Amino acid sequence: MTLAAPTRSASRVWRGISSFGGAATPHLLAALGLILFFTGWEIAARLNPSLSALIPMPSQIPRAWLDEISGGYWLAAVRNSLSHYLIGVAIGSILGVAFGLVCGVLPWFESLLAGLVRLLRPIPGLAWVPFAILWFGLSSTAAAFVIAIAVFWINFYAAFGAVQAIDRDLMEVARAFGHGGFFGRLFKIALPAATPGILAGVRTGLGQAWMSVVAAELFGVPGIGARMMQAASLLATDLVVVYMLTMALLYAITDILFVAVRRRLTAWQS
Amino acid sequence: MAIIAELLGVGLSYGSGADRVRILENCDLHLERGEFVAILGPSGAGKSTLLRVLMDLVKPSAGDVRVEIPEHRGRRRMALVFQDAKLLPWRKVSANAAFGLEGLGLSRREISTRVEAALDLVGLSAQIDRWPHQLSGGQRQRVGLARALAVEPELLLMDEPFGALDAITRADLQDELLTLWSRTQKTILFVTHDIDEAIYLADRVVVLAGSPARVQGCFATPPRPHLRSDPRTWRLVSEIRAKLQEDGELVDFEI
Repeated sequence: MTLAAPTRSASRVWRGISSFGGAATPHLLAALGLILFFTGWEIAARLNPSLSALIPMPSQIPRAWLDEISGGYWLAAVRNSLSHYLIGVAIGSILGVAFGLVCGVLPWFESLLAGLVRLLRPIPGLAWVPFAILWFGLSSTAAAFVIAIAVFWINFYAAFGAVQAIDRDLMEVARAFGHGGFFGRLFKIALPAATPGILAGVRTGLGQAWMSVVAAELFGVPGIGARMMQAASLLATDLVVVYMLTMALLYAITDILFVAVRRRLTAWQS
Repeated sequence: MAIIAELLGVGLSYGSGADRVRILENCDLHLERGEFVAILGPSGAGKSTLLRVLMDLVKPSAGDVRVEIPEHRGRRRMALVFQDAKLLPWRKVSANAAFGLEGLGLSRREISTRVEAALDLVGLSAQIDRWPHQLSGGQRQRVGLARALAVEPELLLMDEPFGALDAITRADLQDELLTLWSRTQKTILFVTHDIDEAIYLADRVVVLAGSPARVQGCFATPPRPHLRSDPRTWRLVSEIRAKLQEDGELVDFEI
């Protein structure tokens, strides 16, 4: 009896939590998890002052963030990084999708590129940094180039795979109704049919590109990555965290925008 | 009556040597304008392939195909209704029906007039703004039919269009197709594996069977109107069945 009592009251508390807010419960729990994480971090950091050079306290972050904004550094870094990001993502996505689609529609073109793809595909985007710097210097173009390469492959494979998965009979429908030519198959069948798969690739690319942004900028191209390196060399760990959170925020914004666009483009799916 | 399309000694095979797969052999078929002809045969007998040869989607390896329909902008006025409709899921009903009209240099207004007329013929005017996934199987097949009718085909090829539908919907669509045919006087070539369907719908039933498939016989149905389970057709049914079994194969039919 005595053992059962706490269990029962705990389950009552749990029922209370889960009935509270109905569908909102998962969100509340997610917020709770975040609060627990930051509180635990704060306590751990306060209990070990010797760690202060290695890890900031969460309570320092808002102050550091505000200072960075009022100094004008934050906006400049975000603006720089966003321009690398957007240009790199746009070029990489458009080229990746275009090549993926054409490879999917024209088997001979796919065969023509197969060897080259096998050769280049395993080379990570970051391995292109030396050439990027040689060709473009420590410029925005260099950063955008590295990002574009990383994004290209994701989109290439997503688009190619999506075209391969199209019901072959739809290509026959195209031929039967006078759209059997290359452009008919490409624009009337392959592109719309592959849109959900292409968008999945674009979304992955949008996330992966942030990784490349930081990496490309760590070499000195001005932006979030460069600012993080400066801060780390001055042991301003709070600033490093500010920019980590900034990236999470920017990613969340791009993803929300993306989901809104996707909803419009794939309204035809059940 | 004038011939609209003809197959003369058509054969089709893939591969060569020992790997050669023969699908069709020495097939003859004559279609006259305004006729309703059914091609009847067991599943996998090459009936659909025969339609694709006529539609110029598959090149025969032997024989001649003659289609007496003039070309307009590289397209002939003939259309194919697919098994399972094969609509494009990213297009609404109206855009699906318009598919064969694009690229012909028609104005938007012309296209929408013809699309509306075609959807009206199949009784789907109210569904014009729906997505294919919002339609029933029968409605999807009607859109497939409207897509074909919109190109105003002189020859309408239908590849087991009602095979996947429930019996009630199928009977409804069969009757609507007959009404449509008698109103428009189009030539229809209808592929099916159902003896009753073939006899109920067609003027002539062409039996295609064997491996490789050959035309085993051609049977005229009694004068119209046809009734379902018409006593006049009992003999015909057994003759056709005999013809199908003559080939010595197990044939699997819905009766």
